[in-house]
Amino acid sequence: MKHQPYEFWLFERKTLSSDEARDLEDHLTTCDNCRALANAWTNIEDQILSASLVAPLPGFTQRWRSRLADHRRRTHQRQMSAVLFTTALGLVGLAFLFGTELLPLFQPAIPTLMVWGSKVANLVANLHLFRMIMGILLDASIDSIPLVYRVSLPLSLAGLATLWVVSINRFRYRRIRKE
Amino acid sequence: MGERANDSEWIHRAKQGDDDAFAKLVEVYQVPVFNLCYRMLGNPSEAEDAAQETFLRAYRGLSRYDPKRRFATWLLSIASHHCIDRLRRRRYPIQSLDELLPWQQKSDDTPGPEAALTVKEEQETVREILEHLGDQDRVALILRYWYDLSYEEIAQCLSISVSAVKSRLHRSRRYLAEQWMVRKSVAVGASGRCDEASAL
Ligand SMILES: [Zn+2]
Repeated sequence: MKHQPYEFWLFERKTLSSDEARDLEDHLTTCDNCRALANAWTNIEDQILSASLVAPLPGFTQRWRSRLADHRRRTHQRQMSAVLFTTALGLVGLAFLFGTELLPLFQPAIPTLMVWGSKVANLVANLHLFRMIMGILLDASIDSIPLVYRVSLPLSLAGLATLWVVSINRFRYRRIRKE
Repeated sequence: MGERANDSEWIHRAKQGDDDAFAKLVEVYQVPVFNLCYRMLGNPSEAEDAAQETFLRAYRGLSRYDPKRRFATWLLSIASHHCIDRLRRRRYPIQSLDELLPWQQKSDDTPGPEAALTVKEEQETVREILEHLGDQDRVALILRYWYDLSYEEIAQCLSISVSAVKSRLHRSRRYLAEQWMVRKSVAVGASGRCDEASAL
């Protein structure tokens, strides 16, 4: 028995024209094979059509907002990393390209830079030494100095320092006005 | 799930960068999108993640949305592709199909104990059969029966031709019907044997 197009139509019953539907019904009364298939499909289709939509847990939109914020933060971090990486790569590239040409320009300055570097290192070491010596001297002498001197000495030193700063300032402004 | 009157206004505002407007769209379409992910992936937590990802992709791709298309169809298209990608990556069988199938949901007309047993058996049979449908065939079937999409809309959703949709649906439906018949005949044979045994 010829089952086409009925075998196709039996799954599309809602879209058939009235003539097609009648032809299909005629075929189904005579063909056990197609009738069994049609019945089986009707059973399955009924169950599918009786199902409703499944909803997510409450608060879905709020969770989406959090996800969006998280996505933005990660995108921003990625962009920053990309910018930094590109800059570093560019600098390395530039150094590689122009390094050989720029090196002779800096070469005369290298001894001067090294001298200044050692001077700064010396200064730092000296300051550290000075602080150490002063600390030892103060610790040793603090008990032998009478209380009056212990108060008046720092005060007079502070006064002298103020006087010094003020006079320097006045001198500087007078010079500016004269000019 | 037709287009709502406010949708185009919200879409327009969301395109201008208004997050609240897009949140309204999320509120409206969360159920259809979640349902599709759930039916495809068969796992609520994975479905939640896939639905969230769908909305994020829609948000990022909103400038590419063609207003001539239904917004819902566009969203379902994103969700379908995303779920198929996930299933492809997964490479192992669906973990829990218990809740995948719609006929496991409670219906309003609850059958009696005997009828309930029959319905449960039938649902179990269909569940097992549907599990063996390919991802592409399953998504076409879901879009057709849960969302009532036309063949043209399904074709647009899955980026395939209308004839491909028709052949996929026909193949799925025929397969489901045939498997149903096989299970039924096995069940009838088994119950027949039981009856004979009890008669002896
Ligand atoms: Zn036939």
